[in-house]
Amino acid sequence: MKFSFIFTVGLTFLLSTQVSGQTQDTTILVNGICGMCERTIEGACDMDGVESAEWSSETKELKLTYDASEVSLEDINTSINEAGYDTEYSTASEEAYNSIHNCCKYRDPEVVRAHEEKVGNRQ
Amino acid sequence: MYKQLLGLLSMLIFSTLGVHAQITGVVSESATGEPIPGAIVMWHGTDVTTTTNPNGEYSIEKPAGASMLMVHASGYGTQNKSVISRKGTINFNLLTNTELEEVSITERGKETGIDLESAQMQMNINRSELRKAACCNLSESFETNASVDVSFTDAVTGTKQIEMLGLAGRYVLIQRENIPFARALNSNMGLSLIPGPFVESIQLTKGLSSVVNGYESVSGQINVEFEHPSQEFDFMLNGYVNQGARFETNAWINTPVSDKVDMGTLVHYSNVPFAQDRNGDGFADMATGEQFNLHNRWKYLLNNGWGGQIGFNIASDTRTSGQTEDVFDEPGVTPWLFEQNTTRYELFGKNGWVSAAPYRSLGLVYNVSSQNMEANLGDRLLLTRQNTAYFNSIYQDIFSNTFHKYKTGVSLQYDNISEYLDTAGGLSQIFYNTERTEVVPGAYFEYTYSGDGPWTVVSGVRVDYHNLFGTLITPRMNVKYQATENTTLRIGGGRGMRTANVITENISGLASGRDFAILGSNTIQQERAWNVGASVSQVFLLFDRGATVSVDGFFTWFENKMIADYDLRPYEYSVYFAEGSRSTSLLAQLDFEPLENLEVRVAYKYLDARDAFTGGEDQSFGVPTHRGFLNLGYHLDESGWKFDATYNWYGSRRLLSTEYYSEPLDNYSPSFSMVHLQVNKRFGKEWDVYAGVENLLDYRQENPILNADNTKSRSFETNRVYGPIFGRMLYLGFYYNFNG
Repeated sequence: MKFSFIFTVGLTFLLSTQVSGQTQDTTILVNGICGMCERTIEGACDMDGVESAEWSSETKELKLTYDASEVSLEDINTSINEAGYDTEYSTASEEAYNSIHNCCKYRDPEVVRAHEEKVGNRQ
Repeated sequence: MYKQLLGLLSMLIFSTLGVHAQITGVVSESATGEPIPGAIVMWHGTDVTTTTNPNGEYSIEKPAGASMLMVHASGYGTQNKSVISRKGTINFNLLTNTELEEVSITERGKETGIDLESAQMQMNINRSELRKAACCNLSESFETNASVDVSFTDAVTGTKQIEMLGLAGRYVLIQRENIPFARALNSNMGLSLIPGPFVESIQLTKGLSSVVNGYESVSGQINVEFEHPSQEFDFMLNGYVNQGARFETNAWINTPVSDKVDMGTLVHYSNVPFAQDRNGDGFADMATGEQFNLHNRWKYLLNNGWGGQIGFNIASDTRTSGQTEDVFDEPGVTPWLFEQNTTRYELFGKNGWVSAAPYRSLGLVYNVSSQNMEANLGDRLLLTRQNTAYFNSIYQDIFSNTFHKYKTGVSLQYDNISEYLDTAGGLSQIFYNTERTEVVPGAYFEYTYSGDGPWTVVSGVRVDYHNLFGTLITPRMNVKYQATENTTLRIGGGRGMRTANVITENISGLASGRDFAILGSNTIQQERAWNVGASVSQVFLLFDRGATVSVDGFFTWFENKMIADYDLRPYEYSVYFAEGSRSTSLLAQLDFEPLENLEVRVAYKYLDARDAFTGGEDQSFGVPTHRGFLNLGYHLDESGWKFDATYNWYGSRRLLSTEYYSEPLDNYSPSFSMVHLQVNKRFGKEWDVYAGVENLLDYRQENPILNADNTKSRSFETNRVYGPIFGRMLYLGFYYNFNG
């Protein structure tokens, strides 16, 4: 009962923005490591209706500004998954994940640690 | 209408961004793709956990805040994946524990890689490196390694000995799969009783390492891993023949017995049927004889985290050398012969338990062995026997988090050792007959700090109570500092000790006409030493490929050392104990790849080993001060060709004095070089054929044996050997490997 309430509210909000045609800001979590990941993730958001997409490797947050009348959050989410990246909502397929560069294999803690060490050395 | 639309849309969104979503996936074995049932799947830092079903499938809900999914299965390595999604598919491919070990070595990309992770100066030598030196037992395995020197100690017994940091091989703790192996009486013969093709990999540690396996290492530690039984059928056959008339065959069979039990058998037989005498001194250039070696073990794995193995090892070695009938035929003269028979029986076992948290484990290690050796060198007779029992327990856990690990346990070492010597004949006849029993219970604690910073610290202490020598305290510490991503600094030190065996460890002194004298009444003593070392390794780009330069230095100081002195009195081999011997070693090594597939290693070593002789401190016998090393390896993976060339340069070394002989010789050896070449060719997956030449330049020591034609003389001497006797030697061999 509670869930359907949340969804009703959420969808009402979604529908209302769809109708109004105004842009909307939201933040979703996307897993990734480095600058190369950043380009891929932001590139995946390069679709009609998305005004800006900024991902931070530190916070893993993707800040989106998009026009909900032209594109849905779901579409953006799918596009990111298809580019090989997991979001807080859903994982990328095995195939898509395998296609990303070896240094970007964010699921592998060894790869993550290797990047952290590099950053640590530069500082 | 509005409600219906809402319902439709809500279903759509529910399916993608759903709330009851779960992470699902399959856990399977990396090599075979077989599903792994019963694997534990867990969100790190939470108590949300599940196990895989018989098809290896799992599904798990993601709690808020969790972001690391861990999978662990008994017999496999743990795998972590960073997962932030609430829904989707994440599959795991686990490596078996043995694969994990192999990968950890091969991933370094080098056949002998310095282990950058370890706090100690440790090198891993894998099978591909071992096969560069095709013959024959463990001592030869180090011929392509600059840290360890291999040499004959005398001209007749043919027992090769190793040296590390300018010190004899007996100061290296030699273990087979973390069970001390070549120790006590076996330190002399032990390396010869490990056939090279049995060996899967070697971990070589310079300087002092862990306290976990006892107090007996001084200059280093060598751990040998044999071919492991596995869940796959595996058969290997090796054949080898060389110009020295040695032929050798090795085989292993690994087979699963059930899905929980694996069995592995390793067999070795070698034979040198007849002797050769190229330099015409009437003495065989190499010992003849045969060796049989059988190693059998059973491994089991249970689902509750327990696993283990039990096995046995039988070895028998006979060798004959000296004026054997193949090369010596002088009527009326009794030939001087060296004959030695060694038999060894061993039972061993290991039991281990790994908890669901992979950092917590318990290991129980035990073995019992019995070794007999009888030898005669001319008219001198030597009989030795050793019965040993060993138990060690290793409990491993963490303090609060995995940055702080510790190992602790108790151990018991029991040795019953007897040595009997009769140097019959002449005025100098001595009997030596002693038996000792050593019972040493002990306990240890070792702490490892390995955080996310640049420091790794391993610090341990063990306390043993020895029934003959009282309480023995062994502290050891190693520190690694990762200065930058490419620069590693290490420093370490501590104490080590061992009980000397005055006859067995001086057997070469008996192959001589000189008197054999043991000075001092107390012949059962411990050798004790302190060792400190430091090293730096730097990884850098050279010819657009990774290169490594490393420099290490070690200093060893003996509180007490057994010294063999040739020069104390004319025609006497004197054995005594003294304080103050020391050894300084420095090794600089560069590894690089000037061309694709061409690996080059250049090394220079400086050794300053000095013994506290009764007549004053002086250079140790037989240790070259300067040594150079060059190894080239060219590998063509697609066509299966491998070419290896090793160049060794040995500087001058001190030899026993002959100033009281009728024709005195120089007290220092000349320097000399040796070149070894080997070619391997792989045919398909199953065949590997190799051929090579040792000592290509055909360098031979002149007069390795002094007064070879008069063995009754006091100046008959075989202990002035510094170089090869046989000269150039060709060899051929093959490996056949079948995986079913």
